[in-house]
Amino acid sequence: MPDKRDTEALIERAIREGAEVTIVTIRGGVQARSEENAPTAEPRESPGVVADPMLVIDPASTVILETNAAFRAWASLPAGEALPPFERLDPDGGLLALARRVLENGQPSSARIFVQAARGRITVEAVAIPITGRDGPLAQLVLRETPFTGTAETDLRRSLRRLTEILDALPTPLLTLDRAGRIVSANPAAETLLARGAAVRGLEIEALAAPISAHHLRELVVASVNTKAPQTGELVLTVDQQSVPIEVTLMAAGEGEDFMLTAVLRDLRPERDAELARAQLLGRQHQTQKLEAIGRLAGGIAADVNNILASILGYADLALEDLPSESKGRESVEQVLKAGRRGKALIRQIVALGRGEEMPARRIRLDELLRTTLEALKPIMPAEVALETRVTAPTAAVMGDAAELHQVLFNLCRNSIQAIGDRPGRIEILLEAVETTPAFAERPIDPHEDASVVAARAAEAGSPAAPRPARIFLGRLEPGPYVRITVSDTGEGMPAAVLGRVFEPFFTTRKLGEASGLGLAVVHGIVAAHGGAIIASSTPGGGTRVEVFLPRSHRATELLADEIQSDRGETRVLLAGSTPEGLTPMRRVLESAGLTVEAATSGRAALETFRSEPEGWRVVVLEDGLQDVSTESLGVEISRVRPDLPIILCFEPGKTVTLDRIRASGVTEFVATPVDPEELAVAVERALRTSARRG
Amino acid sequence: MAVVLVIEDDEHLRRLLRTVLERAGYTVEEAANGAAGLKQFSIRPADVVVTDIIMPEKEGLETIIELKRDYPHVKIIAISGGGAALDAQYLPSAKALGADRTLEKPFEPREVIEAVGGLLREASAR
Repeated sequence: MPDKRDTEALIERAIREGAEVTIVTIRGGVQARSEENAPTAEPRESPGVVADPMLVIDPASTVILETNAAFRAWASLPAGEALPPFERLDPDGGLLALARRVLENGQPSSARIFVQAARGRITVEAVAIPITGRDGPLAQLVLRETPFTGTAETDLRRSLRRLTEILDALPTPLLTLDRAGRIVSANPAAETLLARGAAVRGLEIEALAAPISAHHLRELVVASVNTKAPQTGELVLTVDQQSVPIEVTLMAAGEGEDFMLTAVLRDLRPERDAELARAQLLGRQHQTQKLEAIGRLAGGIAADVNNILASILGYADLALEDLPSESKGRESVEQVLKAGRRGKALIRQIVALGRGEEMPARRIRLDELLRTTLEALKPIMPAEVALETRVTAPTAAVMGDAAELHQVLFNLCRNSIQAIGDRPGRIEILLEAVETTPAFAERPIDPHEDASVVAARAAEAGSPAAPRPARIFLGRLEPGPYVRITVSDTGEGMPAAVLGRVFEPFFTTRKLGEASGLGLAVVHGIVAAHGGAIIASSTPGGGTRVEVFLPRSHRATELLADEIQSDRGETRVLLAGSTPEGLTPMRRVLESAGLTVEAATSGRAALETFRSEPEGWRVVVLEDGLQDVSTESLGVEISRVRPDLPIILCFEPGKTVTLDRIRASGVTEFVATPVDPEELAVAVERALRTSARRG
Repeated sequence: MAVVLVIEDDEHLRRLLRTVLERAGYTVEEAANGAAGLKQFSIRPADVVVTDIIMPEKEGLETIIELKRDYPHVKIIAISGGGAALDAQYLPSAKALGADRTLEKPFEPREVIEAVGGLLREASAR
């Protein structure tokens, strides 16, 4: 029995160490029974005013040596009844462990422990104090019930709730799995990604994987369970019947009942799309560079080759004249002639490819374009092919070269005829005016559908290309007004691998000699030169459709307005022509683009106006045929004072104009009369742009 | 007998044109460049001049201008080099400057004969 001083010291220490201390006065003492069969000896009843149940035990033998009334009441034991074995009170062994601990440490301690009370399993705050009995160390245990309510629990609940809210709000898809890989929980981001809602719970995680990835996923689960180290893998999951590339990271934590696998999912599609878009861009740049290189080569040799061909054709023709009609040689010479003509056509196409120089643009109406093309198609249109045409905007026009645009439409139709071959078929030509939205202009087709991309990936994977109709996009689209020329046919179509290459120069699937492989390359080159774009789609056996987008012509005024944006102050134009009526439409289009126009109806007036402020002019527009002064001398005079000033001449083609001398007088641009306002706007814009660069 | 002056820097083509035209019954003079051509013309005027426009110093157009200025009645056939980019610039100019016909290389002899014949008929009709 510790003496009072010891007890006080103990209690002080207990309080210092934060133990809850209940002062219990025990009258009398603890008498350790020395009897051999002590364990079941009646424990002494300690009288005492103690609110809390108290007991003294011998941790070595787990015998309860003493209790108080509160304990008896708490344990629902009537006086006199034998105490239950300690183990029944302490089924988890928490009290015993606490008692042993305090004896080892020699210090009081407390713990929250589950005990088995009369009414069931409850938590108590148990305080244990080591005491010295006569026969050895004992532990005094005081039990205080702590119902599981109060601020501690509320705090815990609140923390849990907050944690759940955070997990729910995370944009990162998270799953928790059990040891068997079954999904226990999924946060909203995961439910969205996997598109199964709450039904994802209970599934084995492999059920989410596409067959190709199921094995890999199982391996990852097993590895993370066994090694406890994070496992990451790239897999294909099936979401809504589609294959989706996902990166899965598995992390194991906890033991036993608390064991949990966390799976973090990362959707790889945005990354893959960006890669695809980049690959597309590179591929397209490559194509453009190839075309340009070919064009330069072509331009260089075309003239020489044409001279050679002229010789071949010329002498072959002469030989035919000389050979008698029955001569065996005639046939051979005729073949030479044929070959020479084919060479002529080929060179022409190659040169058309390489045309990078800016062509004088005319305003070409859609109905006109269709008419001339149909005329040209008549001789080669087979009887069993039905041709349907529709022009929804006949007056819509494109600024461009009529011969080239005609070539575009003609080449597309010729390709369709070839694709249909001997069978009956149908070709549809549709000419419309369309407005491209910013969204469409930025992404006219899904990279996953892009034939060049599909073909590249199929080649990598060694598998046939996807069955969906593949499409290919060439060029650039801006939001704005376009003209769309669509040629579609019911011909044999082509797979993605072919579609991806069909616009390449010299690429053809036809036999040697049947086709040059240049038809579509020429189309591409011309469309690109006109600032347009092409979308082509095809299905093997299902026909082909080619859509050509060309900027609609009334953009010229906008472009002109853009060009003068950067000018500080006014952009002043001197306009000289013979009649006011002739000048009005020109004046109107220039003013609508934002230029300030000064007009003169005679050469003398023009010169006076010019001289009044020679430095103030940005461009001069002259109509040929002024009565009082020759255009040439006007140009010479203006150029003398302002050699940098661009001069645009409007003249009637066919009339004798000494062009070279005119050029020497400073005229840099020519526009045909009667002047189309759009053409004038284009010429002025070009003059301003090139003179700005030089200046 | 009509006289045709051929101005062409490629000698093979020059010879071809001579052969073709002579067979058709014309008397042929030739020159290898514009300056020589003008000189030749002053010595022996031709009824029709067949000239290449894309010659080393782009003299073709100059030649046409000068011929038309000094000999307004002469008929001129301008032949382009067939590098179509240049064609587009120069053929219309050639016409505007006074060429009566244009031909694109590689032409066939028939085309030249028809062009010359046609121009001569026009000339005599006047």
